Amino acid sequence: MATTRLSGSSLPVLQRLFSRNGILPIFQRTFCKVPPEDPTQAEEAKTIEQEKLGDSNSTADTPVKESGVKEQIEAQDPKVLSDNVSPDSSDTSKAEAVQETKKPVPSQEKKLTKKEETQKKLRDLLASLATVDPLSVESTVKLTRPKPRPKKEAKVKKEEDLPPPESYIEPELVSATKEVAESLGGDTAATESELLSTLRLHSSDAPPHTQAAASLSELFVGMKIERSPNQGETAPIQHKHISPEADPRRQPDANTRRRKLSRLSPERPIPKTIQRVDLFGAKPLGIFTSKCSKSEDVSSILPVWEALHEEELKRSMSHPPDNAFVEMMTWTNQGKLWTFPIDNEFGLESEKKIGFHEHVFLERHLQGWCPPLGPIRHFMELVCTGLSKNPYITVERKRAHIEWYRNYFAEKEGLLKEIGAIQSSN
Amino acid sequence: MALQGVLSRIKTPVFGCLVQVPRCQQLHTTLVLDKLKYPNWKMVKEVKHRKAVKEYAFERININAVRKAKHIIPPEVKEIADKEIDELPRMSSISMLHKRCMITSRPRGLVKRWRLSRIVWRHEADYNKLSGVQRAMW
Repeated sequence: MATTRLSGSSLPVLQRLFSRNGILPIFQRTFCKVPPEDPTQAEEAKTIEQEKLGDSNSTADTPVKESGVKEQIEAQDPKVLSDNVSPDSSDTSKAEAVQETKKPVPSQEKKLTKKEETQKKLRDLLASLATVDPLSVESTVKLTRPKPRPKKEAKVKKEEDLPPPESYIEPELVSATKEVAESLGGDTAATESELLSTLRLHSSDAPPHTQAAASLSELFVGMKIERSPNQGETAPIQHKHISPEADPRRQPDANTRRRKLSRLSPERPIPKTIQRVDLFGAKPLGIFTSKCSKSEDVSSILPVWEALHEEELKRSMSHPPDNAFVEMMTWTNQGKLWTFPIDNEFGLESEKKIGFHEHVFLERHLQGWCPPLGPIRHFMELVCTGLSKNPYITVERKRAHIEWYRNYFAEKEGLLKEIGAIQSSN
Repeated sequence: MALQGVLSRIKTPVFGCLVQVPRCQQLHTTLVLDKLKYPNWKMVKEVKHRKAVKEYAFERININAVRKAKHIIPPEVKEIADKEIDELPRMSSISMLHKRCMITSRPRGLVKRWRLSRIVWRHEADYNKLSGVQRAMW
C-alpha cells in the first residue's frame, strides 16, 4: 500500500480526499471534462486552485499535475469556491497573484490582457510545478508500522547513561510509606520497613543490572525450586543433542533468567535431566549375529497367521526391483524367465560333449544278463531301438530304463522259466 | 487343558511316510500356504495330481511297455504287469489329469500351447502379450 503507483487522474482525487482542508463529499466530485461556463468562473476557479495549492504547499508537499482538469472540477463545486477561499498562504508570490486576481471583473478591453495575465500565471504555475517537490503519499496516507518493541540492551544503556539516583530516600516518600503502612493495618512497623527497604534498593548507588540481579535472586529465595528425583544418579550420559537451553555450560543471560522464571511457571516445563539409554533392557534383535535360532512355538494356535507375518517381514526387508529390467534379471536368475536368445537345449549343455554312439548303440548294456534268444531278447532289442531313436532324454536315463527291465525280469525269473521264456539249460 | 491337547505331537501320514507333526499342523493349515498361490482349490488338487504323475512316470511307462508288447511277451507276464499297474496310485495316471487354465482354472476352452483359457488368451492377445499372435484379418 505504501508504494502504489498512482495515475495522473487519480492524484488530484486523492489530493482532495486527503487534504487537510477537509474530505469532500463524493457526489460533488466530477471526472468529466466540462468547460467552464464563464471565463470569470474559470478565473475564479484558477485563483481558488492557486490558493488551494498554496495551502497544500504550506501544509504538505503536494504533487502538481496538469491543472486543467482540476480547474474544471473546481468550477463545478460551489462548496469549494466558498470554503477554500482562505487568506493564509505562505507563498508570497502566489499570494500577490491571488490578490491581483481578486479585483473586480474588468471591462472587455482588459479581458485580453487579463487573459494574457492568466496565461502568464499559468506558465508561472507550471514553472513552479517543476520546482515543487512531489507529494509523498506515504506522509498523508496512514500506514501500519511495526510497534517499537522495547530493547533490553538499549534500556540498560539508558539506565547507565542516566545520572545515579540519590542514596537516601526523600522525606516525602518516607511519610508516604508511613501513611500506607497505617492504612494497610496489621504490623505497621514491619510493612513500613519492607517498603523502605524496597525503596532503598531502587534508589541505591549500585549499577542497575546488578540491582536487578539482586532483586531477582531475592525473589528466588522465597520460591520453591523444582527438583527431579533422578538428579543424583546421572549415569554415563549420551549427548545426543543438547539444546542451547539445556546446556549447563551456558553463561547466564537475560534470556536464561527469563527462562528460569518460566521454568517455575507450569506453562513451559523444561526437563532438567537427559534421558538415560538402557542398552540391555530389551531383547536383542539379533541382526548382526549369525545364530538364526528360530524358536518354534508349539503353543501357537495360529500357524497361518505367523507364517504370513514372517513372509511380510521378509518382504519388508527385501527391496522391490527398481525397474522392469531388474525384475526380469531376478526372474532369470531364479529360473522363471528363459534366457534370450532362446535355446531349446537350455540345461543340456553337458549333452553336447556326449557322442551319438552312446545314444544309439545300447545293445552292449544287454550283455551279461539278457538271454541271446527268446521273447525277452526280442523285447529288449525293441526297447533299445526305441531308446536310440529318442534324442530328448539323456544317456543316463536310457541306461536306467534298461536297468529297470533287468531288475523286473530278474524278479520274474521263476515264472519265466516255468513258461519256458528263459531256457534254464543255458 | 485344551492347550495341552494342542501341544501333543502325533504321528501323521504325510506324503506316504510317517512324520512327527504337531497336532496344529495336522489341521493342514501350514500346507495351505503353498497352495494359496493358485486361483482355485481344484487347481490345487490338479497340481497334486501332476506331482504324483511325475513321481511314478518312469515306472508306469516301463510297465505299460510290457503290457502293450502283444505277441512278444508271454501273457502270464502281461497279467502280472496289469496287476502291478493297478496297484500304483490312481493320481499317478496321465489320463486322469484334466488340464486347466493357468490363470483362471477354467477346465474347458483351453488354448493348448499357452495353457490358458480362451477368454484369458484373447485378453492377453489384445494387449499384445502373446508373441506372434495377431488379430485375424484377410
